[in-house]
Amino acid sequence: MPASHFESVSVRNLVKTYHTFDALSDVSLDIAAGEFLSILGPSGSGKTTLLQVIGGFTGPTSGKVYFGDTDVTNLPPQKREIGVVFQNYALFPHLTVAENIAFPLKARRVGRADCEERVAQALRTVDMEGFGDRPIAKLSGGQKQRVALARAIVFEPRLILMDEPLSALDKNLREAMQLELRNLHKNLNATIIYVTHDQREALTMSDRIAVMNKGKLVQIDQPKALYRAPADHFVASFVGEATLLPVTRLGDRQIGLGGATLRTPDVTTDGKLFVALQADTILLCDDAEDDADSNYLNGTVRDLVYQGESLKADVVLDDGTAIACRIASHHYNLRSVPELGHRIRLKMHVEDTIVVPG
Amino acid sequence: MTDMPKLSAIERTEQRSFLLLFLPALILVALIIFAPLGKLVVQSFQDEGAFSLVHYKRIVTERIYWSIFVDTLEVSLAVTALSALLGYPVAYAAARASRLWTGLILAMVMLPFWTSVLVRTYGWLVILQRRGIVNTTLMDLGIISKPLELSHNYTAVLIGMVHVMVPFIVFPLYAALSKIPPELAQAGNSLGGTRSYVFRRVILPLSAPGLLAGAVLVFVLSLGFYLTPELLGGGKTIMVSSLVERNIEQYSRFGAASSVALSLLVIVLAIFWVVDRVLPVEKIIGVK
Repeated sequence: MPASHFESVSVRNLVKTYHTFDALSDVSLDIAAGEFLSILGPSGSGKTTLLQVIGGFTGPTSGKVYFGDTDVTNLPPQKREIGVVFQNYALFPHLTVAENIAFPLKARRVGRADCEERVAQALRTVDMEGFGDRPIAKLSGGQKQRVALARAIVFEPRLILMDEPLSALDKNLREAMQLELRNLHKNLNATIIYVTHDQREALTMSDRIAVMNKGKLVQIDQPKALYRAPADHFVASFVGEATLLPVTRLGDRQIGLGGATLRTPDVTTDGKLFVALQADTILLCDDAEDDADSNYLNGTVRDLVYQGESLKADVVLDDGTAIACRIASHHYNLRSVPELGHRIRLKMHVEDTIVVPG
Repeated sequence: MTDMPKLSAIERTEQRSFLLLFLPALILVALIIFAPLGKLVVQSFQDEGAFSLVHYKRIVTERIYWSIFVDTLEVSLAVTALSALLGYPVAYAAARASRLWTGLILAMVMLPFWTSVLVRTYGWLVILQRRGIVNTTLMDLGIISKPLELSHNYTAVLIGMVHVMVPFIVFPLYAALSKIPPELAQAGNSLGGTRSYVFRRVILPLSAPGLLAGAVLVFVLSLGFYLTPELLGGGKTIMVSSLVERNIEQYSRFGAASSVALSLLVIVLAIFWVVDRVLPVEKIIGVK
C-alpha cells in the first residue's frame, strides 16, 4: 500500500465560547492516522462546534488543533486539505456530478488530463461510474451522498470530516451506506471524523467513539467498551436503551435495588450509583430457574408494544420502579410472551448488570 | 376504478367554471394593455388624418433621432451595470448578515422608495451643483481650486438614475442570494477554493437568475426614464422619453410621438429576444 496522505489529528484544550455559553469546554482528543472516530452526542452537546473548529470554519476561543505535527489552528479551511461531507451534501447544484468532483482539483489548478483521470477514479471508488454527466438535481439521496464522498476524497485530503451525512436517508439505505463507508475507510486507510447523534451508526462504523455532553468530552472508547462499560450516567443513558435506577452499594460486588440484592462486576466507585439495565439484556425466565450467573427480578407487565422485530415491555418491579425490556417477536418466543397485568420473572447476566456513577 | 372517469369529468367542469370566473378580469386586463397600444399603432401610421409612413421615415432618416435612441440605450446599459456593481455587495451583505442587520440594510435600501423621485432629483442637484455640498467641501479642503462639473451633464444623469435604480436590483439579488445555503460556500472553501474562487464559481452563477432579473428590470425602467435625465442632464443627455414629450408638448405631433414610443418598444422586445436566445439562462440556473 502506498504511503497514505491521511494524517493524525490532535486537539488540545479546545474552548469555544459564544457570549456566555460554553459550546466547547477544554476538549482534548487524539485521533490516529487511519482511524475512524465518531463524535457522538445529543444536539447542543458541542459535537458540531468541534467539527467546525477542526474544519477551520470557526476559530476556537482558545486551544490548538494539529494535523500530524503541524499547528493548523489559524489556518483557513481552504488551506487545511480536508474533505468535508456536509449534512445536506452541499453539492453545487449548477454543476454536473463530474464538475462537482473536479471542483477541488480545478481550485488547485490540476491539469485537465490528470483531473479527468482522478475524477473517473473517484467515481469508481464510490461505485458511480457513468454518472459523471448527470445534473445534481437528477440524483437520489444515496447517489448525492456518494458524489459528496467522491468530492471529499478526490484531492487526497489529510482527513475526512463528516457531519451526520446519512441522516437524510431512509433506514435501509442508511444501514447499507454505513457498511459501505466502513469498507471505504478500510480501503483508503483514511482518517475519518464522523459526527452523529445516532448511537447505532457510531457503534457500527467506528474504531473509537467520543461521547460529548454539554461541551465536554465524557468518554472516548471502542464501541464494545462504550456499550459494556459506560463511564457515567449520561453515557449509559445515551448508548443503548437503558433504564437507569438509583442503587445502593452493599459490597464490592453487590448492590441493592429496591428490596432486591443484585450481584455485579466490581463496583469501585463510591457516591451516587445507578444500575443501567439495557432493555435487550433482560430476558424472561421460569419461576424455578436459579443460576449462579444471573440476577433475578420479579414484576408485573404494565404495557406491551409491538415494534416489529421485538416487543417492548414495560414492567413494574415489586417495589414500584418501572423498567423496559425487549422480547424478540419471532414464533419461538410467542408462547412465552406474557399478558398485560400478569406477573413475570426476569433475569439478566451478572456481567450485564452495569453500575455507573451518577 | 369505476369512479375515475367520473372524477376527471368533475375536474373538467370545475376547470371550466374557474375559467368563466376569471374571464372578466382577463378581458379587463387585456383591454387596459392592448387598447392604448392599439391606439398608438394607429396614430403612428397617420398624418393629418390619412395613412402615412412619414413618422417612421423620419426616425430612420434623421440622425438626431438615431443618436437619441443610441444615447438612451447607452445610458440605460451604464445605469444597469453601475446599479449591479453597487447593488451586489449590498444584497450579499443583507443575505449573509444576522436578522437584525438584514432588516436594517433592506430598510435603508427601501427608504428612498418612500420619497418622490422629483424630490430626490432636486436633492442631487443641490448636492452636485457648482456651489453644491460636494464642490464647496472639496474646495474648502483645498483638494480642488475650481468647482467640478458634476451637474447638468452625463455624470449627473448617471448618479441620479443609479440612485433611483439600485433598490430594483438589490431585492431580486437578495432573494437569489439568500436562497443559496451557506454550507455551499463552506464546502467550496474546504475543497480548497479561495474566497474569490468560490465567489466566481459558486455564488455568482447561483445568483445569476436574480442578477439577470434585476438587471432586466433596471434596464427597462431606465429606457423610459424622463424626470431625472431631464433635470440633471442639462439638455445634453436627451432620452427617448424626452423626445416623446417634446413632440407632444411643443409640437403636438401625436403621430410622431407614437412612432417613437413604438420604435422603442420594438427595440426592447428585439433585445430581449436576442438575449433569451444567446444567454443560456437554463444552464446558468442549473435546471432542466
